[in-house]
Amino acid sequence: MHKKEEALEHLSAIKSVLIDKDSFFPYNYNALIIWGLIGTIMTFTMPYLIKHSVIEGTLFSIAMMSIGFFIEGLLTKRVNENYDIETCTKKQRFIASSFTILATFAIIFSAFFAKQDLIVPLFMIWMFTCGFGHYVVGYVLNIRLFTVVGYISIVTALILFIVSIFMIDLGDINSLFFYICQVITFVVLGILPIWMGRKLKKEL
Amino acid sequence: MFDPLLHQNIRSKLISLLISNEELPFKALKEYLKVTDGNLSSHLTKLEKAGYVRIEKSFEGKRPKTVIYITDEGRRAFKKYIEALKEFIEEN
Repeated sequence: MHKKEEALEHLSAIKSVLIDKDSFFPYNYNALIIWGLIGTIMTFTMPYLIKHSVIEGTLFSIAMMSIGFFIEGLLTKRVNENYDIETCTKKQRFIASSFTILATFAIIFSAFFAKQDLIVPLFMIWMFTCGFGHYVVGYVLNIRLFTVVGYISIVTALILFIVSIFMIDLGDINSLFFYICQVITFVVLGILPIWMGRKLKKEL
Repeated sequence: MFDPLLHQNIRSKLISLLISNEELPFKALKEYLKVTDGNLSSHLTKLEKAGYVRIEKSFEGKRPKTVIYITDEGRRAFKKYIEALKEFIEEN
């Protein structure tokens, strides 16, 4: 019996490293606060810019995303240095490349939608892609908070998408629906990541 | 019955970490496993002698740096060990 308990203990210790939250993932959660600020800036400026000029709006998005990735890279590099990690771990590489792909997808889709004068759906595109990114991170690292925030973002984006089918002018940046979507996006892409970053920092 | 090298808490965690990351610096392993330098070195020496891990020492500027890699032999042994654990639990 004692041997069985010992074997179970070993198996559970291995599982905690390979499958559960116990996995090794150096990360500076201040990056989430930076992403929250970028999300806020983009929510309140990008729709107007892209409505005025698709190229300007797209370049602005690229610039904001580049700033975000650059700062996140710097913060991660600093954390990694504490562990003697020269470049990055496999999981860090996977998450960084997933977010790069998702951001590229969102930028291209935003330009395409803006060209058709569909400005309101841009909020849903960004919420959906960021939510999907959070969901992936939550799944890979087994961090429940990321998964929940991912679900919230995806579901909110889908509900707004469905509602927008019944709206007439999705290019009107002075409509009530536009403002509602803007405020919701601010909560999802601005406030939620900042709250998440602060919470996870406290838990460390 | 069980591989004595792997049937030890620190070493089984260490190999699990290397399996999910392929390679890790000594410092990262030490921080994660919450062990002393000497303790970790002694575990790593045993695993290296058995061919389960490969240890590479280098210099980064003036600072010495040690990186630990899992070997194919280590992966195979770990897989066998997990199977043995499962089998034992099922039989008892």
